[in-house]
Amino acid sequence: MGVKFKDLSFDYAGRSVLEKISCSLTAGHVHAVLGVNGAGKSTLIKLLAGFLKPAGGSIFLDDDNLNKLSLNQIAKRIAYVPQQQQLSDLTVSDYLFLGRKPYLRWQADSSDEAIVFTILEKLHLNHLALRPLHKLSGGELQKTALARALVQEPEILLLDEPTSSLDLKNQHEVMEIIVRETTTRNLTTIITLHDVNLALRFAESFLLMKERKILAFGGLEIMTQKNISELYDINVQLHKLEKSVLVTPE
Amino acid sequence: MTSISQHYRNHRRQRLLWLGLFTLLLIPAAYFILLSGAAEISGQQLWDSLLIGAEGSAHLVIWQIRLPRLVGALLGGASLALAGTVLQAVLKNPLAAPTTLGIAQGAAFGAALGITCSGMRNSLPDLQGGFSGLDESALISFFAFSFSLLTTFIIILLTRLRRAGKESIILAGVALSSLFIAGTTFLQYFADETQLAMIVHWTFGDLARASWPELYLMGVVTICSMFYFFANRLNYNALLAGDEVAQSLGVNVVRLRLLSMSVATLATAVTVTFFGILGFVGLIAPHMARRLVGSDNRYLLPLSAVLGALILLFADILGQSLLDPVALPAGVITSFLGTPVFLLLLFGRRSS
Repeated sequence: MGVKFKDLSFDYAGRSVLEKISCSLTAGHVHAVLGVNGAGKSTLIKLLAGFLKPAGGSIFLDDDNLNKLSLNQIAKRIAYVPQQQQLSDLTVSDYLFLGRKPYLRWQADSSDEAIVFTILEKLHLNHLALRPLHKLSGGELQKTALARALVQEPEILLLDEPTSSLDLKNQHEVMEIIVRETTTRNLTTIITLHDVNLALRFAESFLLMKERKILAFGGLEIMTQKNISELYDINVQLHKLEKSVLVTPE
Repeated sequence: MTSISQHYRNHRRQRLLWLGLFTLLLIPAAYFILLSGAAEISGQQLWDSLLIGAEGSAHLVIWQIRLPRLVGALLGGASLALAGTVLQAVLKNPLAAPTTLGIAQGAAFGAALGITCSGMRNSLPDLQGGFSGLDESALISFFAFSFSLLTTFIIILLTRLRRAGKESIILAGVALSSLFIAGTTFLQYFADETQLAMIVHWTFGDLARASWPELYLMGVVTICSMFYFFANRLNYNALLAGDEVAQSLGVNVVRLRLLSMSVATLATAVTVTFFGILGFVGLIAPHMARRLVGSDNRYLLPLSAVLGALILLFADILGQSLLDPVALPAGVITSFLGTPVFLLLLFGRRSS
């Protein structure tokens, strides 16, 4: 179980964004994709979601080539949460029901309702069930988007900077949900993050991207002073904490 | 969990209640339109004619004038409102509507061109019983239809341009409208008196213009488009979450946008071709419906259709009674009422 991509390349307007990158991401783990702006993190997420077609190489979900799957088949296996959520006057519950769309023939039935309401409760969003999206706070909105992705019952969860607009408390709450659901649902969670410390605290595997290529991939052991300094082009120091490692610029 | 699902069901019931309420309102409106008009017809005569099929002039008036008018208002109102709702959903712009995108103006230009080309010398078609040139009338419809499709084709091409944002599509619609209005004025300048009268008359949206065969065609197009729109209600909801999220939910966004715009145009084009321009219905009905049930297309689409039909029925009744015995075309009323109602919806929402 998991996602594998091989020799994956992507060009945009004649400019290479990703150059023949290969990697295998296993299920049950949170994989953090790290790198500076323009390193190709979001492009990788969009390729994995099937929004962009690769210029070369292929992506496999287990043994299935992503290219060969229909949009609906992909929707049943991959859920995507963008960085910014579009606001509307859809209520939180109606928005969550969208997550059942790939499974619906004509309309939602009681089993779909059970899935939606269970997740609402699990993510402590019940009190917001009938609130329109445009009346939610940033943290509530991000949790709702995450809930919608979970309602989709995917194997793979793609998150593009899910914490970038959140305060510290909400950043941690959202990340805790992501880690918990990844473990309990055996998801392959791929998440782009700007905050290296947040990644170190919550992710188990790290994909470091630099200049269109993978600089390093692996567990905590690859998060060395040398790799991180090279990744961000800045000298950093690593401080060992009780539960995590803290990175600060030198 | 029980309480959340209970609340959710109540909320859903509330929205269905609005839908039911306005659907019920169609009955008195329909009854009223069947009774209003130049010829005096009593309620008893109406029921006799509808149920028993009594002979006589009242029967003729009901079946040849009043019922086509009613069916026309129902079909035209519903199709314009649905087209507006869907255009607003796929273009993600609350100002999108058949009139703001220039589709109606394109049809008017096409009709003017058809009238000029056919070189008709007859007077106004619906005032003259023995309208001799059926081919000419078909030609006008054909031109009107072609130009409304051409307008949509241009809009669709523009939406496919990467740089075309939400606002630019509407601005392009405004520009296209101006172009078509200029073209119509140009044709009017060179038209003779009869043609000029026909062109001007054509632009007044009038429900009295369509006869049964045209209504059958409209009925088929409206019902097919309704079915298509309603079948895609969840796809339109998914678009509310953004194009990428919609795609991640299995929606082929490009195809949905293209097909929805085409079907919306077809529905609009048929209505505009047979009735002329009925301004603002396609813009206002979705906004009114949205204020009542929100943007969820499961409720918004049917309620818009019902409100569109109600607006047209109301406009027609008002048009007939306002300057009695002169009957104003419904299009004049919708345009008059459209502006204040739209401004109220726009600024009323802000202030609330």
